[in-house]
Amino acid sequence: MAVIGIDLGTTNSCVSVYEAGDAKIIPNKEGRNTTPSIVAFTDKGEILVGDPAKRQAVTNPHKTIYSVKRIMGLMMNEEKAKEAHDKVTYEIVDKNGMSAVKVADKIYTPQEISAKILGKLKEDAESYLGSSVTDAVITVPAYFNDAQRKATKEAGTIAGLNVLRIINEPTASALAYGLDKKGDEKVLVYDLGGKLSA
Amino acid sequence: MSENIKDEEKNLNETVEVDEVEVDEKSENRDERDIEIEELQKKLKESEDKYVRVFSEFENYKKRLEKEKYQAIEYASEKFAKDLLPVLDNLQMAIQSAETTPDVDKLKEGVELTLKNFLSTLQKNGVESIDTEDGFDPNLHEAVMRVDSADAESGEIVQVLQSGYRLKERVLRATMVSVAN
Repeated sequence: MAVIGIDLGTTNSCVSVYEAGDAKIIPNKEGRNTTPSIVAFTDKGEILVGDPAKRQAVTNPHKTIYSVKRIMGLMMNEEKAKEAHDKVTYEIVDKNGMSAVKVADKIYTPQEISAKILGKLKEDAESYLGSSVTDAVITVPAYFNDAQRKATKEAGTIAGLNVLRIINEPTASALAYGLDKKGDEKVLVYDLGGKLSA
Repeated sequence: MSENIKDEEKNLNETVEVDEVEVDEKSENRDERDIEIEELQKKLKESEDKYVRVFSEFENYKKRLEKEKYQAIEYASEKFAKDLLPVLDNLQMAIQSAETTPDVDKLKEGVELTLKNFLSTLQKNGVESIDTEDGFDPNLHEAVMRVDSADAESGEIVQVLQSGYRLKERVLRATMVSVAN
């Protein structure tokens, strides 16, 4: 059974599968290679993920959760969590010391929000591959600490994925290049993030 | 004495015979094993041959598929482009006629007809404009700003800023709208 590779990004996410010796990016059902890492809760009680969530962000700023990766696995008292709290349009609250988001009186952990994104990527992969998918590898930034990595794995579990491994984003790039299959050579990996600095 | 010798000889002979029988059994065993090994080696070689053949076939198939895919992508627009040529002709004719007879009404009429023609060509190729009649739908519409409005309910469309289109089930471009506060 196929194992999918997921780049769970701050701004966009992407899913791929190793097929016939190459990593193939799986287009989402909207036909795009990347899916905005945005989850929205509408007044009608719908949960939107990806492009539709992005398109209604202006109308629904308090219930549209973007860049949740910024607070993934962070304690509320950590500097980065405070920074995110001041910047985003939705509410970041304390849940047992951990950062979480509050949407219309309901508290969601960053893991639960990320699980919605992972769930959509899983669905898109399943419809592309024509079979169910459970095993996945998820990438995280090289600077992620243990708590952040654990939280990412948990998000996968909530989405119904069996997370085989959490790997560093630059490592994934090197593997996709085929570093493990070529002879001795030096390869420089650049990580050009799309994260908004604002 | 002589009997003893004979007995010993007999014994010796028997031992030799026994030995010979044992040797025979051993060589028979070896033959069987050899045959088995040969058979297995043959099978392994066959499997290896098969693997190499299937693998190279697969590699070729992959390459051919890739080539076909790129060709398909390159010429995917062929039919669409051909369908658009009459629209191009009509626009060129409109400019030509405007140069000789500067009748704005007639020009407008001609351009309107061309537009109609253009839209039906788009439709024929699966491109349809997205309507906003059923209210704001983030699957089809993109809210770019919020405005105060006396008529529209909060979160509903006030104005269409740019038309949106879809190609079959996919959104080519979401309709850009402003929504009520």
